[in-house]
Amino acid sequence: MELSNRETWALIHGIIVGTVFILAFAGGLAGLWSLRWELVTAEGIRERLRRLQVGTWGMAAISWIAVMTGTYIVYPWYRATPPEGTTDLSDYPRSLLLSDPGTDLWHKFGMEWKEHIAFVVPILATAVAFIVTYYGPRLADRPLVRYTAMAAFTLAFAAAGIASVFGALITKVAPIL
Amino acid sequence: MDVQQSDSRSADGAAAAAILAAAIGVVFLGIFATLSEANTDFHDFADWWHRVGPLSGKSSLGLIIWLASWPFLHLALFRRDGILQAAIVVSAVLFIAGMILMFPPVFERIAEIFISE
Repeated sequence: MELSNRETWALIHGIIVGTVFILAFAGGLAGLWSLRWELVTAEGIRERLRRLQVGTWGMAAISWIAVMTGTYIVYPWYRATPPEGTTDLSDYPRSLLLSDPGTDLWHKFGMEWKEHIAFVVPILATAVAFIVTYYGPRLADRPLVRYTAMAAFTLAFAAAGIASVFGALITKVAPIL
Repeated sequence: MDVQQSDSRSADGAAAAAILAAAIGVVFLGIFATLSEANTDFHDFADWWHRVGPLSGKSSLGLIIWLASWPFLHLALFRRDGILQAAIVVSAVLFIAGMILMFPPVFERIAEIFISE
């Protein structure tokens, strides 16, 4: 039982970082939702806010790590061009997918969408972390600011979900070995 | 000083700027995704790092525009209050446009139209 260097990076990018992001989302959203004076005391707001600031910046950082490791470490292995005359394309996932009309949509639709939509995640997650830090306890007084942060957070999660699902499915059809 | 700082920190302009800058970043990601497909010159220009291909340039350009627009919008808006609703509407339009432009069937169709002309 052994993982290659490429498999290890694919694991870090897709499973470890991606899973932490998706799990942390629920906590972040619940934290934002409950940051209201009618639900918690002033001390409760302060305590939740610290957790929320750490959580949102953590999510922003982890989404940057996921996107950058995906784009600059894993993706080059995926899109590598095989030397001329190569018949076994198992080391060249993109070429392998494109070589078969039954699998080419995994690249043309799945990977093409995933590689772009993934960048939406850290942009939105960073904006949310900034809003949480900038407004601090005032978030409890400004429901529209809080709802905006929650909406951006949810959109980031949806974009991460699309990128993760296609990443997992493409890896299943044409793994990076 | 404290009161003024407290007032500006309570205004919703900073949230409006953050969300508008994010939407600008997203719409430019969509524009560059489409442009890279429709225009070979831009496709080649965006190939900033060959191992990653044009994704390196188009994503970096989108991120640069997002990061550059944010401080300008923040400085312009952070003292203003009551503008978040308008910013949400504008951001939603930009965000949806960006998402449409980075959807492969859409940018491929646009590319086909431009390439066939």
